[in-house]
Amino acid sequence: MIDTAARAEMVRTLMALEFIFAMLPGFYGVFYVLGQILHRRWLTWLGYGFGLAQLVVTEMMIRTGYLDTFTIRLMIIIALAYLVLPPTLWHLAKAIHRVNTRDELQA
Amino acid sequence: MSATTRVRPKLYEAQKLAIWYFVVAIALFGLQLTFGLIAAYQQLNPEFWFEVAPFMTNRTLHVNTMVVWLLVGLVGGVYWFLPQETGREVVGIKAAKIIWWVIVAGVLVLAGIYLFVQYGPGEMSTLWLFMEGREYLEAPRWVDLALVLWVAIFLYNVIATTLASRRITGTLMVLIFDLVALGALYSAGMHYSINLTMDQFLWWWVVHLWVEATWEVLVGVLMAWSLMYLLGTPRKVVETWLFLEVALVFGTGILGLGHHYFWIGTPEYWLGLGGFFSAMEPLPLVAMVVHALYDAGGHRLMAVNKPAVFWLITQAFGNFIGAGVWGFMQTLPQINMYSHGTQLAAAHGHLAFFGAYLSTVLMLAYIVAQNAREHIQVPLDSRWWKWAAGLMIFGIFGITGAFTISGFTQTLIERAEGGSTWAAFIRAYTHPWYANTLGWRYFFGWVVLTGYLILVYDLWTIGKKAVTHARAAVAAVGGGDD
Repeated sequence: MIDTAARAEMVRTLMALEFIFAMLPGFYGVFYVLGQILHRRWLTWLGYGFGLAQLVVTEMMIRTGYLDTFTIRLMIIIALAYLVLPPTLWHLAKAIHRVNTRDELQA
Repeated sequence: MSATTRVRPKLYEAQKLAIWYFVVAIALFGLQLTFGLIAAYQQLNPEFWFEVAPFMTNRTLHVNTMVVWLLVGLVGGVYWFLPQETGREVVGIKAAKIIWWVIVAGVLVLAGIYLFVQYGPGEMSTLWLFMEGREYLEAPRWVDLALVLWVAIFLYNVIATTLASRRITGTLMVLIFDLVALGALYSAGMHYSINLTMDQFLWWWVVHLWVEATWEVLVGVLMAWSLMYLLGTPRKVVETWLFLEVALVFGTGILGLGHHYFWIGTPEYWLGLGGFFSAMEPLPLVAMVVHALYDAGGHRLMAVNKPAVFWLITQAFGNFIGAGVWGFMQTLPQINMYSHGTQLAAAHGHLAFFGAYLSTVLMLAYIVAQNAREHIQVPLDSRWWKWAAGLMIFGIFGITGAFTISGFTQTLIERAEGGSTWAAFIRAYTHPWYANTLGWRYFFGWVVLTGYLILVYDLWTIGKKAVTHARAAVAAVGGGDD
């Protein structure tokens, strides 16, 4: 049985980690896209850094030992989804614009 | 005239009506801030106006005016863009004007009831005439019916105008389906049951699905039109992205509702369902950030309406941070068990509404301001909008920070450590982390109010000088195209 002070400590740690976990894909997306728009590779790599940092935070959340198996699997799936999200969305946005330009030229 | 100054086509009647929508929306925004500020002061000094308008009344007015002014702004945005999208006057514009003034009168009467009647006996007559008494949905039944009638006439305007124009675009189709859901989901809040679980089950449909799903899609439609207007983004691009957004918002958001069902007496499977889909809810918000940066970044912000473009980008970021990050922080059942109903929810609510909806309405207000005043359209920029935006953003982050700290204190001391006992409640509420933040949120409330006053001044004056110069230039060349 976990004592109440330890439980409060655990909740505090998990909340802080969840906050960072949710913030990192945003930073990843912003820096990845800025790197692509401004043609600055270091910004793109910084974006990747935030993406990897999210995996580290996921690991830290799992290591707290407070999450059940379902939630652990859920966090891993979400972390992987967010890892591929910014590049996928970027390429999707580019593809949509490219198709539109091609159609306009053909018209 | 300069290359970016041009003669604005004559306004449609629907656009003239939209101007009234924004005038009323901005006025109600001021009232929302005033009631919020009074409520914040009453937390510091509970005796203030206790006999006149206690905290409960001011909080109700603060929340309800917010819902109304944001909805008014969003509907006003549709009335502004609809004639441009369809190339014709809105069908049924007379009915739209009549129901608009009915709604304005209803809001004034309701404010009077909240301020001067405040409560009634525990009978059905109170529910119909004065107040339902349910948090966020306090409006009495006659106001509910008026709201549904308003949305029904609005839906008729949109469908009839679309059909009459014989121009059914992707954005219009999304809008029509969304408005059906907007009317239908609000009526779910009229369900009344003495079983609290059943009552809460449908109550959350309004609070979560009505506001977080149908409003988000409405914002998506308005963003699509605004991107075309402000940045010249091609229709095919915005519509493809809009379909993607709608799929993601509904795909994650509908069952994301489950995070409200964790502790209200619903079956246990909602823990897994709610946890899974809630965790996915920031997905469309990240997509919005990427798309906004893609479109706005390509233009390096060289737009003819800088304040509107600023609020457009702020919307994408604010929505992600307020709805996504602050929401996700407390969405897993393991955390939510201790954090639900604390002031972390208020922190999330303040930042999410600011990011997702306030930014959208202010973007629309600047688009209208560029076109409403004169029949010359000039590039819009000033130093005042930057002050207004800076102060409001600084203020809302201050308020959110204060709520977050006090919510943490409740979650950790009152709930996780103290086990929600009366003694733990007292300990949390007298803890410096809680007590001090009451003063901070009051201070930051003043910061937001100062930003608001500058915003009103700016909306009133922005572009006036440029219009005068443009007119002088036209006069100098002998009339020109004016």
